[in-house]
Amino acid sequence: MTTDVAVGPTIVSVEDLHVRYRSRVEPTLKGVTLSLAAGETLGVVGESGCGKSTLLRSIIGLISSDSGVIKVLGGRPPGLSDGDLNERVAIQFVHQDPFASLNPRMSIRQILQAPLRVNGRDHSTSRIRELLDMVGLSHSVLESHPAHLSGGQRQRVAIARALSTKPKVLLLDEPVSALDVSVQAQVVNLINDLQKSQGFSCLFVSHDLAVIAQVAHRVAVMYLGRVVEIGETSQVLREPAHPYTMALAASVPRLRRESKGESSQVRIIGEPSANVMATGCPFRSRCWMATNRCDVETPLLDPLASGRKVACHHPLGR
Amino acid sequence: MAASGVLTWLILAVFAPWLAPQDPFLVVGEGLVGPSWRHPLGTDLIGRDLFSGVLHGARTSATIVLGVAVIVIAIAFTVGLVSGYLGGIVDDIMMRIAEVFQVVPRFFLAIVAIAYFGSGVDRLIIILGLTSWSGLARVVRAETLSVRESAFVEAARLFGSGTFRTIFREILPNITPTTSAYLTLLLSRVLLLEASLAFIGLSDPSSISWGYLAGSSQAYLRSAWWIAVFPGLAILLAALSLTSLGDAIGRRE
Amino acid sequence: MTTNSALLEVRDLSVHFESGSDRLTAVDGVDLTLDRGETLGIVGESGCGKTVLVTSLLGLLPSSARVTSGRLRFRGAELSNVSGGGWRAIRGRRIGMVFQDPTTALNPLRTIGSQLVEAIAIHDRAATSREIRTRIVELLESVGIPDASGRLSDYPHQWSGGMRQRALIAMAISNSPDLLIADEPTTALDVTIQAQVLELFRSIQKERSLAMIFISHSLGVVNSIADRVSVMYAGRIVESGSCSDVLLTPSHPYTRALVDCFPEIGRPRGSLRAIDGLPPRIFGRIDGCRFRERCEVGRERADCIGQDPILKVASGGRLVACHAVSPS
Repeated sequence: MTTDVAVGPTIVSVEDLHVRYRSRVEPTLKGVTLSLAAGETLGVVGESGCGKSTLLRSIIGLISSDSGVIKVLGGRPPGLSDGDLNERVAIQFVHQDPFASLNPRMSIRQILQAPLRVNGRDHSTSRIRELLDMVGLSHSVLESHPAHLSGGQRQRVAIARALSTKPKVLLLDEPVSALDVSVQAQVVNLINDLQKSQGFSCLFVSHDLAVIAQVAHRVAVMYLGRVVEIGETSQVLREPAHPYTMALAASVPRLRRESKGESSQVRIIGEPSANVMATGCPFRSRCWMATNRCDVETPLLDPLASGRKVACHHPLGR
Repeated sequence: MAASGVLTWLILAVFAPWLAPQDPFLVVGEGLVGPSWRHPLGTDLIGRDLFSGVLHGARTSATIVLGVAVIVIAIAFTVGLVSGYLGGIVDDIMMRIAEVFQVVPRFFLAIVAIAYFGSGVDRLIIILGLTSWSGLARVVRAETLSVRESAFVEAARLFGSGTFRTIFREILPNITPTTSAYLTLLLSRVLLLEASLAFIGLSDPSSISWGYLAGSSQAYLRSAWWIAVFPGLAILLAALSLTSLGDAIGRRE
Repeated sequence: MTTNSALLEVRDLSVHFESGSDRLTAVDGVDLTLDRGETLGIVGESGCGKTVLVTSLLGLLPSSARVTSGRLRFRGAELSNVSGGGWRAIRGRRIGMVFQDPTTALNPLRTIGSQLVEAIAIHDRAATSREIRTRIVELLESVGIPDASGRLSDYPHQWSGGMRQRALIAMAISNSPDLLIADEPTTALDVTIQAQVLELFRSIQKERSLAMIFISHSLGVVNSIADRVSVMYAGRIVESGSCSDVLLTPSHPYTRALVDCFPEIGRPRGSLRAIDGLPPRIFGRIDGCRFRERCEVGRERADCIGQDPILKVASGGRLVACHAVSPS
């Protein structure tokens, strides 16, 4: 299955990004490189501790980096410093927890009007109603407070708010992880539809590979602060090149029973340990194909086929 | 229910001059007469009607408490919000200043200040206000610190909400429950403080205060029980209504 | 498989919560049967009543809950009239439990070892502390925690989420129960760790011939661990049968909808079909089918509007509560 989007110019680029949290000794991002093109959705997937949220927050400028270059729409990440407002709202963010990202003391109307007011845009009731229509919410929620809405409804409000200033880039941090499966599906479909109609580029972070498969044109797999594989989603999932990608995909519980046999063949042992030696591949302690070279030399993200890159000394299928 | 207590107090305070049968300063009867039809709460040492006195006292204490509330709210919220939100050196400086005000013993400072500046109601309000704001400022700051980390505050910053707007439209509405509860407790303490000062004679001589009513006839409290009991009851009820209002606000959230 | 040999037999179990004049029905007339060595999966979304259901099987509901049942038998004995003391003898000894969040299920102020000791000592007063310690070390190693004897004095925060969950599993099986109840035990874990823990559940069950009730909101997880599955909606079981029947060829419209919106790696982009609306909370009586308003099939059907469907035997021996499904 091919990508059904025309790949446009690069809108966000990250090069060799290193970020260290002040309270931890080990860097949380160790040289991440990826790019997002206009009109596409790049999925970033990984388990806890891989740094995917840190990556997102660095791109929008909430976290400062130690080294590396981030370019957003040609400029630096807007961050929180009072800079140019138009630049700031060209990239927006949707938080994971819809219960925390809306001000509990404001009505939905006020929540949606706020970014428009602050940025001097049309914040009339009719515009707010338009926003509600865009995310499939009934107008009756206008005067309600977030506490009266369900998780899925709140997340829709958060999405509407983020899109109200017509940003070019939307960053989503696990936007459906806190929702029930049927509501997840609603929101996932909504995001896909909105991307087609509004035309923004999207960075979608999730720990759930199956959800990523539903939204992302391309996917970046992260492990302990590094990107280990990146490429077109269906290809990466069908023929993973990195052992971690294969193990990750195989660990996802499925509905088709025959895959029960598959998952028992590829099961990785142990847990990720961040306090490994500084050199070598971070995955080697759990990799069934690790060799001496993996102990010593950190693999770099190298191109495989067109658009595909993998950081492994022994990529699968090669 | 607690709110109605405070409300009653305020109504009495506003309408006291019309409700009171006599001018409380006027000598209208025999001294030290117990409760009777003519003087429902009795008369004091020199024959002034206690009932009128208590009603006017309500007005005085309400004025003082409200005045102090205005000062305390203005200073404490400004200091607490700015300090909590900006952090860093601004926070350090402001909290050191607040500490200075906090450790000073209020009662004695009030006595000294009254001795120096006089005991008019306006001076009293300022003195009590300036010595009472620091505790509330700390509470406001603590609440601000925790709300500041919320996702919705971050979202606001991300769509361009500036410092001023973020503090007053995002954070402030979310800290009102706890801080209001604390405020009412603080005000009831102010009330008691004022009553104590008035009892020892440090109240505004041109206005009747509950503490003054009880204090002016000190020597005769044993025999003329009504002079202590009725003003005392008024003080008690007023303070109680404030603290239970605080409880009710705290419980509602 | 006669009813006499069933380890757990539940008939017509209902749980209501009363607050003032409101009456919330969390579980409404549920039947369950479980044999030794079997795993029953219970799947449903939040608010469907699955947690309340198993909590009632453990006697852990708050006092505002009213539990009624036609029959509630465990190991042949009637449970519905068991007192507090009776429950204490069963919980942790005959029925082991593993809950979702390993962070809150373990006391952060006590060592792992001491908590395990307590779990055993409560039920086995005769054992000496050395015996208990040996048992604990064996248990921890059997659930995949190496070098256990050196780690008994660790505190929970020193262990990762996966290890804590293994410790909880160890606690649950420490007294060799007949039945293990697990409520979303892997939901808070990373995917690769989840796979390991699920494998652990499978191997424990095989070794000890445990009966297991496994709750999850994820169809995939239930499919990978259970033999049979019951799908719950608004306090009722709407479909029940073997995993391969129910999950691969669902009969009930809700089960079908759940399967349709379950994201899977092989599914093409944009192929999820969502269910409109939100699940109901049951106050008072409800006429007709509870799923009707969200159901593609029954929205306008007269029988779905008027009558509450009951579970009937349908294709393949499964049970389905739906007017639109013809009984076999």
